[in-house]
Amino acid sequence: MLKGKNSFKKKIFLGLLSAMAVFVIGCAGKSKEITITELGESLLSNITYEDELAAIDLDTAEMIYYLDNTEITNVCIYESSGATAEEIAVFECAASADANEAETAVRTRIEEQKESFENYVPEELVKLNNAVVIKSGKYVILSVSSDPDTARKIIEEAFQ
Amino acid sequence: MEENYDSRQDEKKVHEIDFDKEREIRKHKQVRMIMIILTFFCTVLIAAFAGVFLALLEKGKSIKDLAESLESMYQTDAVIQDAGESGFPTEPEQGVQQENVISENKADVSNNNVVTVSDNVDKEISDNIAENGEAESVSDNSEEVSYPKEFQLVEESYFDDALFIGDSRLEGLGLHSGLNATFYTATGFQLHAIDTYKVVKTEDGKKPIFDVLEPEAFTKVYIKVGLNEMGWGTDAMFLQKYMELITKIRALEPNAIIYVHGLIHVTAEKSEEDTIHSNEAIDDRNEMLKNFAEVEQAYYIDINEVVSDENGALYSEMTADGIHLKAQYMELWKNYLMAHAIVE
Repeated sequence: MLKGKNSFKKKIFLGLLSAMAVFVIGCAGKSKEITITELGESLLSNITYEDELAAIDLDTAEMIYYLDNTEITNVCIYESSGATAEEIAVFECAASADANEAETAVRTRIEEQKESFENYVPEELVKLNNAVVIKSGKYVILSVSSDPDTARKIIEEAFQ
Repeated sequence: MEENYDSRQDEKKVHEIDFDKEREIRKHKQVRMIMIILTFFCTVLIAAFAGVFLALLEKGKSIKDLAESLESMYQTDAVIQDAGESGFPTEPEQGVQQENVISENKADVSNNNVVTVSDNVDKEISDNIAENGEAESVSDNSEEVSYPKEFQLVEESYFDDALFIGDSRLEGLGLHSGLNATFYTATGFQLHAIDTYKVVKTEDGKKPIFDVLEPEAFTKVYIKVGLNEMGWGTDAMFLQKYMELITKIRALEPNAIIYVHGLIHVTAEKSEEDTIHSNEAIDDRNEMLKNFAEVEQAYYIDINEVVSDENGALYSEMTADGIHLKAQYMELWKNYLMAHAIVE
C-alpha cells in the first residue's frame, strides 16, 4: 500500500516534469513577433549601399527564390538594379518548417549569385561571402552588403 | 608640151574621183557596222525586259514586289558585308584591343563598324547568315506573311504571354517593372554560352533556357543580349549565335513575334573609361542589330531615345553604376515597350 502511494506520487512528479519540459521547449522555439517591413527598412536605411535598392513584391520574390513549395505569409525584399549583389530579404513564413525551406532557398540564392557575379563583377563576391543569413522561428532574414556587422546587429536587436 | 600637161591633169582628176568613191564606200561600211551594233544592243535590251516581264507575270508579282525584293537583297547585302568585314579580335583577354573604323556602307543605312580583322571563318559564318536570310525570305513569300507591321500602343496584359531573354539589365526590368511576363535572364548572361548557362529557376535547381522552354508557350519573345558579348569573338560570330537563338526559338514558338532589343547606352563617364563598351561601339552594334532584325523579319526596338541625352549617353541620374537603369526608371522602359508593340 505504501509502495503504491509512492508510485502514484512519482507518476505525478514525472507528469509535471514532462509538462514543464514541453512548456520550456515550446517557449524556446517560439521567437518574438516582429514587423518585417520595419526590419527591412532599418536594414535599408542604416547601411550604405553602392546601388539603389528597390522593393519587389511576393510574386517576383517567389520567382527569384523559387518558393513554390513554401508557405510564405509576407515578405519585405529590396533588390539591386543588377549592378551589384546587394540585397535585403525578410521572410515571414506560416510555420517554422516553412522557414527552414526559406532558409535553404536563401542559401541557394547566395550560391547562384556567386556563380553569376564570379565572371561579371568579381568584387561582389566579398559581399556574397559575408552575407548574413539568420533564421529565427518563422522568420528568415538575408542581408548582402559591404557592412555585415551592422546588418547582424540590426537583426539581433529586432529580436531582442 | 601643152598636151602632155593636159593629159596629166586628166589623170589626176580620175585619181581624185577614185579616192572620193573609196572614201564614200568606207563611210557607208562604218555606218552599217554602227547600225548593226546598235540593233544588236537594242535586241538584247528588249529581250532582257521581256524576260523580266514574263517572269513577273508567271509569278504573279508586280513591279512594286520586284522593287521591294531588290531593296531587301540590297539591305541583306549591306548586313552581310558588315558582318563579313567586321569583328573583334577573338582573344580579347590577351589584351588585344578592338579597332573600329567608321565608314558609310553602300546601302546608305548608316555608319557601320568595319574592323580590320577578317578571316575565312567570318566569311563562312556570313555565308550561313545570307543563306538563312534567303531561305527565310522564300518561305515567308510562300506563307504571305506581311512584314514589317506598324508598332502599336498596347495594354500591360500584352506581356502576359511574353518571354524576355537577356542579361542583368533585362533582369532589372523583370524585378522592378511589375510586368507579368516570363523572364529568362541572368547576371553575366552571354549568348555563346546559352546552351550551358543556367538561367531558369526550377524545382531541380537552375537550368539552361532550352532545357525548360516549352513549345508554343509564348507569342512574343524579347531578346536583349550583346553588351556582355562585346569583346567576345567577332561581330559575325555574335550574329551567327544570335541567328541560331532565333532559329531555335522559332522552332519551339513558331507563332511568336521576335523583338531584337537594342543595347542601352552607358553614361558618358563610363563610355570614356571603357573603350570596348563605349557608346560609339554600342551604336555600331545597334546598327548591326537593326539590320540583322530586318533580315530575320524580327522587330528592332531601342529605348535609347528615352534614356539617352543629346550626346547619345545614358542620363547619369538614371543609373548607379553607369550601366544599369535604376528601379524607378523601369516604368519608363515598360511604357516604351507598350508603345512599341506588334499586334497580329
